[in-house]
Amino acid sequence: MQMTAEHPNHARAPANRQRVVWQGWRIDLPIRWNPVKLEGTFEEGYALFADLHRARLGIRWSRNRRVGKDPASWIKRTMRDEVGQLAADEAQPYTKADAAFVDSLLYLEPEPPGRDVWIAYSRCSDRLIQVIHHARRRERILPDQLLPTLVDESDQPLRRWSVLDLSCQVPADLALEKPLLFAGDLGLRFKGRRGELTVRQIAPATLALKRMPLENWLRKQQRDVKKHYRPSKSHEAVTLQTPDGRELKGVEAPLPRRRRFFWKFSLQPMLRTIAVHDPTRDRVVIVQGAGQGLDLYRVIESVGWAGTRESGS
Amino acid sequence: MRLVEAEVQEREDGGINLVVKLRQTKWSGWFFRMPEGAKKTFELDEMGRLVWDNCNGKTSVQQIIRRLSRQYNLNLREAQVSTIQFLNMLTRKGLIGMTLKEPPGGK
Repeated sequence: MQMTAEHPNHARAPANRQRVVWQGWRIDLPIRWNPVKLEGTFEEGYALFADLHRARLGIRWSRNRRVGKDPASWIKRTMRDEVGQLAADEAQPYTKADAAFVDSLLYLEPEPPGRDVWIAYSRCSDRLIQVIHHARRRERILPDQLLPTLVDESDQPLRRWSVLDLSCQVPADLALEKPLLFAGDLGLRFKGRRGELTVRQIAPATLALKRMPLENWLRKQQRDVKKHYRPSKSHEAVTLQTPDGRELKGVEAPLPRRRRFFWKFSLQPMLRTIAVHDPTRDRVVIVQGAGQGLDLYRVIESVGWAGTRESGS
Repeated sequence: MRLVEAEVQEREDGGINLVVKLRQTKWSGWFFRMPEGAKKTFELDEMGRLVWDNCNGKTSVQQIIRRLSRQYNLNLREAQVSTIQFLNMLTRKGLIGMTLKEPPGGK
């Protein structure tokens, strides 16, 4: 089977930066800053980024529930809760942020070590976002380098994700159910009213395929849901061509729901599993799912849109 | 740094087998006697081999993490987690020991 598909323009981060996209937020961070804590949902959550030495940046978001339509007072109150009344009075409006953010306030700690805090309201998703930079010395990395790259992409029909080495693009109506992020085996599980999807990436492929062939990786993935689905004994070959010229070869197999669960309408009647080898990026990519309007081929082609970068030395 | 003199056997898949002679400890000798020349084999894959080769007493853990990340094009965080887990395992088995570098200016 030969499939090709066009992609929207996946702009990558500039050199020495990595693009992190999580729950609709997009930000370019230094390549050494990686997530050590990712919690919450689209409505409310927290992400903490650290390098090999210490925590560097925290991002917290929440949806407006109590205040109604007055984001400015909400921002002021949140700033006061975060840094205290005296410091909050010194916070200044910040103008370099994306146009979707309104009423933003920035507080820069005058005597580091301390926290630089930026709080804004996103009209795009009706969420409040706080970015907290743990500053050890007086530096302007938060206002000059990080905040100008922060964007709320929540209004897009396809939602992009990029965390650690895994990047993909899925329909926006699929919400993240569970991140499965292990060293060398990164996965994201999505679930929505009309479908479900699991995206998994194993690295490096050369070692993974020495351990077992691609067909066995596919079967192993199918066994994870064997309680409700009947793993397939046969598979067919698949070849995909990504818009950036990568050729992905692999196998795919159907995964029918077990007959005794015919009454369980929350389960999709049939899932499909695709496992491909991406030799350019040296990764094994596995996608499993089904749903209305969900094209697994497009999902699998989008894996790696943020690029695989060499970690800084 | 390594704490044992292990015999290294190359494998076809790029990994190595570490063969370590077992020593009878004082108390276990009361209950059973270990056969003469008993050995234990640890199988390391390519990545494990890279870490083992760098356990030379000169390379720091951070340098090992960076080397692993560069060689296999892994994310730094992924390399950090897997390397530290692997080094912990080697330490628990008594194959390596780690020295702590004193921070500048003393304790």
